[in-house]
Amino acid sequence: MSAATVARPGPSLSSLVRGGGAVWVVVAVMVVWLSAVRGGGFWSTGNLAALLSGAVVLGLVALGQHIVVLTGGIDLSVGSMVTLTSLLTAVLINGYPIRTVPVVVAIVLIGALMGGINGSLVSIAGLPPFIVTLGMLYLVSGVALTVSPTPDGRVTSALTGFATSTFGPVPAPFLVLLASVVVIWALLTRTAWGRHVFAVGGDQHAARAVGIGTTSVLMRAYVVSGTLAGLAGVLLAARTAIGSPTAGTGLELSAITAVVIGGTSLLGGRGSLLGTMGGVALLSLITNSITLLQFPSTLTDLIRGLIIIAAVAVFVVKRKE
Amino acid sequence: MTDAPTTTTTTTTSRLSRLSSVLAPMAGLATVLLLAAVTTPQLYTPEVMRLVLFQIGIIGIAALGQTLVLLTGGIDLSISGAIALTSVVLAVTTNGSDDRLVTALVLSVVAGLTVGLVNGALVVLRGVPPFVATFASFVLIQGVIIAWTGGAPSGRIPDGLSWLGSGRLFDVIPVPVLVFGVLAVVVGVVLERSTAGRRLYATGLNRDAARLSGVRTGLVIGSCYVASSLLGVVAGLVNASFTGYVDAALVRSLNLDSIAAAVIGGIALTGGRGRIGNTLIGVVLLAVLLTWLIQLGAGGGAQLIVSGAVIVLAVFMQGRRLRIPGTTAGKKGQQ
Amino acid sequence: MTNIAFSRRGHSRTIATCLGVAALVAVAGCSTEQEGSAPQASAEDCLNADEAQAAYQSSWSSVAEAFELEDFQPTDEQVCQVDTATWKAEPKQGDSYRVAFAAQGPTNSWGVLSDEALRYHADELGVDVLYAAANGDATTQVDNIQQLASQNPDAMVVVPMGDGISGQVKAAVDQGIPVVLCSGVLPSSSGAVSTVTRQYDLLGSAYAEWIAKKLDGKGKVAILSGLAGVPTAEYQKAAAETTFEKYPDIEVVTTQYTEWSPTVAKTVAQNLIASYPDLDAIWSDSGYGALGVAQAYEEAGKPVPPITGDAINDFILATDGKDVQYALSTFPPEMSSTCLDTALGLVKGEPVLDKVYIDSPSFTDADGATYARKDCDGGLLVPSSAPEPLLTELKMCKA
Repeated sequence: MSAATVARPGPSLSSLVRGGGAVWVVVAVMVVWLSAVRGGGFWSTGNLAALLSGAVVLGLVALGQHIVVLTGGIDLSVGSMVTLTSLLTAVLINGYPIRTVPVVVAIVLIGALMGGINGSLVSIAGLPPFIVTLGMLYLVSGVALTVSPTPDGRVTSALTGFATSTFGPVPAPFLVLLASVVVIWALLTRTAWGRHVFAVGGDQHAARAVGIGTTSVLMRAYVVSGTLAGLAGVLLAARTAIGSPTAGTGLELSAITAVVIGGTSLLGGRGSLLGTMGGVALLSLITNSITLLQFPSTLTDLIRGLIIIAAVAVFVVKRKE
Repeated sequence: MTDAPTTTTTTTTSRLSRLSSVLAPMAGLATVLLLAAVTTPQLYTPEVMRLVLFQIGIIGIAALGQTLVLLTGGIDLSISGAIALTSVVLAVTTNGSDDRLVTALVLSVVAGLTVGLVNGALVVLRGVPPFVATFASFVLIQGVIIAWTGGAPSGRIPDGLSWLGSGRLFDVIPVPVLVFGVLAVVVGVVLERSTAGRRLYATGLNRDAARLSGVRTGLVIGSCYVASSLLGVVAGLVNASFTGYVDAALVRSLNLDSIAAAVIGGIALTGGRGRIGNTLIGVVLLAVLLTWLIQLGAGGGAQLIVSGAVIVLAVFMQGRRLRIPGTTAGKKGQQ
Repeated sequence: MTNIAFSRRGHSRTIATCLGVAALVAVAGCSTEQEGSAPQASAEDCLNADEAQAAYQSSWSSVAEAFELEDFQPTDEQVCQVDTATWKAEPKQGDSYRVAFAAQGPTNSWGVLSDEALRYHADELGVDVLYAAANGDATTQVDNIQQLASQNPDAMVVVPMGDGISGQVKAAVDQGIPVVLCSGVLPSSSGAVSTVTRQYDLLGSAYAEWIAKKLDGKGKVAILSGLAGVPTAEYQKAAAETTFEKYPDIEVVTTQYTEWSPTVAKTVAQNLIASYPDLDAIWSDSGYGALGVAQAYEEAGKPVPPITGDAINDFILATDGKDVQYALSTFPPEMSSTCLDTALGLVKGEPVLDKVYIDSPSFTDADGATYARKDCDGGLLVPSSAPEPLLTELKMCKA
């Protein structure tokens, strides 16, 4: 088993990929290219703010996905969790300023709770993560549609104000993402749980054999992913001001793509946070450049598809044959 | 895989586990049929039953391809891409006239082959996780369709094909379910009786061991992706000829339905475990369930909730079965 | 062992969390102060109101006439003229105006024609277009609008994908960019300067009234809406439901979604035939939905009940020469060229209305044959007022 997960000790490209540096090289090349072609437009404060705020929700979700993937699992339900939490944020607040703080806290907890459901099915019941979270994807989107089939609710001006406020070109929500990245980085590198995440992802049986409580490690990974999805839902609601039952559709696939092109192995146990954030940066840059460069609208999906498939083919860490 | 059972115990235990693997979905099917009898007795009218059969046909063909890929331990998220691509190829090449039907069919098969080969190459040669590889090709197919048709695929499907989607044998049995039946038998025979089938199971159970014993695992896995895409083409032909119009909207639900059907029936996501009978019963269960929900007048939200719950429940039952002492080795670790 | 210990701890933790969440929500529920929605523009300074109001009324009376409805009253709307002095400006860059266009994107034939009609008209007028596609998604569109606004265009045309973009539209307007909403509406809090659209209410209730007239106010009706959660579908459905409530003897037996797909519609209709063999009429918001329904009834060997939808060429051609009663109208994509005119009117200081209601032909099966276009693509909404050269260029019609 463990033999299968060991990467081929290989050329410098593969080590660069594993360290998460490769994707940043591509990001840097794209930035240089965009600066050369559309320098003024790209570096304008407004465009930078659009680029950064567009990355927040994806970034938070990819962060949670990163941890789950490190444990050797996958979380397909993050998109639907973002949908439900952002819808609930708007519906529960519904324009009452006094509700803002309690609802925001409650929503993040609801995210954690949904993560907990995923976690207990995966860790305690021992079900395959793919199918558990696929089921949750259906379930949670269904709940969102039941809460309201139409866009509904309204957040307060305090929240929308937060979403639009900026420090220089840096939008306030982006600082939330930065803070979350720092926290997760500390959790992964400075705590026993963080080390256990890597151990469990590398080889669950071996981890258990050396006395790691795999159940609790897995449980917490999914809870963290759910919490971050809840946080992303709140920020999404703050950005759009109104709840929508389809807001986060497809987010899980973008998040997984970001994690994979960041060099993290979907087999678990190996990956760098830096790489995943590079994946988020690359996906956000692609979206940004399509409008910036005014590509023909019918070609945008094709371009996106080609870039993703190329990135995936080049950046994926190979299994040992 | 030191815990692989020896050959002598395999025969008895595998028969036991094969039996128990269809028990849960059988029980589920019985429950749904009973509930339907109480709540919506009209489910048992010939018209609705025909509808169920049609659903079985269309979900089933896609689920067969999905099963092959799942048995290798992979997953195919691009089946719906192959389905959509087929209907666009048909419409654009023929625009409703029967003259160029043969050309269109050939081109559809070529399109399916290409999709399958790209998936296979990414998974086998580049070692890309199947989930990501097939999702990437799904996005690419969407991009190709939009770039090719200018964003709005439209046009007619030749009438010469309409028997495939809306024809009926003896005016009773919808043709799609017959197509599914024939294909299921073919796939079943290949899996159970041929060397290729044995190699497929061996590869799915333990790729390294299979390779050491001389199986060209890359070829086996690659062929499964190609077969899956080609079955997607067949599903696309059936789907397109059902209404006779290009239709890109239906597509994504078929992707998830095909996975759900196989999993509900008891095909293990870890590969190597499950037979065509599992897929068959999963397809029937899902088709009955979906039709029942529509008959109940359940809204989109409720339909999603029930589908989600059934998937989790089905896997939960599978998990229980695997824990029965002495039957199988229990949960398989990550590959 | 560890499992049991963990799950016990997990239980108490879960319960505590649940209680906490419940308490927080309860606290939130007790509060009463709601932030008011922005005050409506005051009525007294409504310029040129009569003429504007008449234009609005006519979009309702034309459909009433086409469907032969006797009592079809417009919903209350106040239309005023915009004070364009606020927005009059010289081009910010170079000699020609740059108009940003936050579009739906080419996700279907409606989106393609909406995009291309605006571009074509911009070419005619010598205006530059900054384009961004939302691909039908409101969240994407929020990013699009922010990015387009950062390029400092002279004006912006937005095809709204949902109320969620209101905040970003407001931000663009606050930045000094006049925003024209196109083919859709937003709450007045968005601050959009003008709205150019055909009314969803109008379509939804006109179809329902036609059905009520066909049935003499008595019978069983099924509602086939488009896609759950999408405003275009939900607003029309809501208007239909309100209309049917006026008729105590009309029973809406079921509401289903067709996803605007003939395949899904056909499956749904086959179910309907089995469950409700005595349906008297079907309210559908789309021609593709109606197409699937018609096929299902024909294959079952039953007469197609009176049905509604948008005027998709495919549907009219498919029912040609068959005994199908229908009422169709359109939500024309090519109205985007009017949106561009409105936006340019604002920056040029020409008189512009704050709500421009597009009128579009409505017709029934009696006139279907005159509207069908055999030389055109099946997905075209007929009659199309898009320029013929554009339709040919897009290969939607033969030259």
